Amino acid sequence: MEHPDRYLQFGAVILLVSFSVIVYGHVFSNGLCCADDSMYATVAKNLAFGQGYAQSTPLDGSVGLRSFDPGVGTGPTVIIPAAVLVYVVGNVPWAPGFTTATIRLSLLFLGLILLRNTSGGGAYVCTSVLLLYSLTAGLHFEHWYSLLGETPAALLCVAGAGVLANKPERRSSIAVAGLLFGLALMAKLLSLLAFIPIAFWLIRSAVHRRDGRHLFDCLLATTAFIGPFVLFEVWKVLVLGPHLYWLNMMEFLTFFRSQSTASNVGLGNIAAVVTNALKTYSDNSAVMHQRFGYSPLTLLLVAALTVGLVCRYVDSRFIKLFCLLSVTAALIEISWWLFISNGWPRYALIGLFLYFLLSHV
Amino acid sequence: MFIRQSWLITSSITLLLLLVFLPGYSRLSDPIRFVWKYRYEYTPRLVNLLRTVRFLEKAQHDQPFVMGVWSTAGDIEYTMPTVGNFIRYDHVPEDRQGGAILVRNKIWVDFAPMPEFTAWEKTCDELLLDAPPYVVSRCPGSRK
Repeated sequence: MEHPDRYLQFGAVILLVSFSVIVYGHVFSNGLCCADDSMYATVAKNLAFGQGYAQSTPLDGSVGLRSFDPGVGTGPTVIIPAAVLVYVVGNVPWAPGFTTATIRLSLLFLGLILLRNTSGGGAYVCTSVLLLYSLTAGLHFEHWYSLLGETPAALLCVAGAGVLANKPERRSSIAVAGLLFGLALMAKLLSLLAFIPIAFWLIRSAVHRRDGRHLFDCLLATTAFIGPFVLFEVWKVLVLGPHLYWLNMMEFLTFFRSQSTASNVGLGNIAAVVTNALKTYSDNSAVMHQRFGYSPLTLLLVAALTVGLVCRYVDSRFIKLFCLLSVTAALIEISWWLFISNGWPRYALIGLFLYFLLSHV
Repeated sequence: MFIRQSWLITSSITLLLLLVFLPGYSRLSDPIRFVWKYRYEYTPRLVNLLRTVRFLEKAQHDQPFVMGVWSTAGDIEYTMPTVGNFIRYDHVPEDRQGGAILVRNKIWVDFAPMPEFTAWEKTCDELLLDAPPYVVSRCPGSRK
């Protein structure tokens, strides 16, 4: 089967190049398309112009620059590289999208590198590109070419799961995977949910083996994961000072709660929580079907088929672990979106990306 | 893709791919047609964005310009050569409203219409630039 794999790997490269031509075509023709990306681009511009990590058209309407505006929902993982590019080429309309498109396409290319020696790897990348294209073509293609954090976050999560599953015993893999998930967290906070399976897997390994090595692995992954977050928070404290930092944090928590419907009812009232979750599910599954064309039942069927096939026929430990980490992360992300979130379609993308990347394993 | 055995498995994978592919089938050509149409050139919207920015650069003595909610001027603020060019309509001091320049991207104004801002648009009806979707107009009176 060596030759078919080689052809498929060649096909994967051709597909990636074709996909890049389409994505960069949008980057150069249709930059600053979608309001949110312009707001994040403004933060990148202000940083590049020496005004700090600040928003100059703040969400609350306040006058002047607003440092670390809690309403800026895409994080420094994409805003800082965009600021670097703006510093180099100026605040041209294509600079923000060029940064994130390059990050996204590089992460897809990383997938090809990781899988190059794996039987069926070429086919996997071919199918990945086609599926991700089909998911976003039409309604949400802007997630490939504008400065939005969802797609980079999703692909960083996939890269993290792939790196860890590739060499799960190697300490450098654990550190790199933790760091990739940490960067995903700083691209879009929602990717915190996708880290749960990794954390659970590491803790389980440490408890199961009961030795210092696995405990150290846990600490290493945690340190690598929270590293980018801690650095960003330290930067905030240094700029804002302790008092403003505290106020900023409180405001952020209010903003964060507003993204989910769970904040509308107290957790003490179980019946109300369940009723609210079911109503949210009903509303959000309609949105899912309208925007992406999938019903929750279809998604569940795909997951069940995938898990069944992998458990029954796959003997590669890498693929099994990759599938386990991805399917769990996807289910957590999509469950959150269906049952708890405010139903904004783009918040479903991290879960759907993880889902699509595992559904053809 | 890592499973290659019987016809049953092949059929299952085909079914999976069909389930995933079919809903988006009709939209698949949209991004390709877009690139074919513009061939890496700016869309009319971006051409007009740059035109609006050039216009506003010449009117810097009238800053800060008045905007609606953040989304109605985000792309213009990014593209302007200076920082902090706008003030939201509900934060403009009364003595600064006369002669103020109102700038907006109509796509985002129409996306979430706000009665108070619509009133501003009606009042500030001296059209200075109409470069769709961008509109620049002046409010009546003069700046104190």
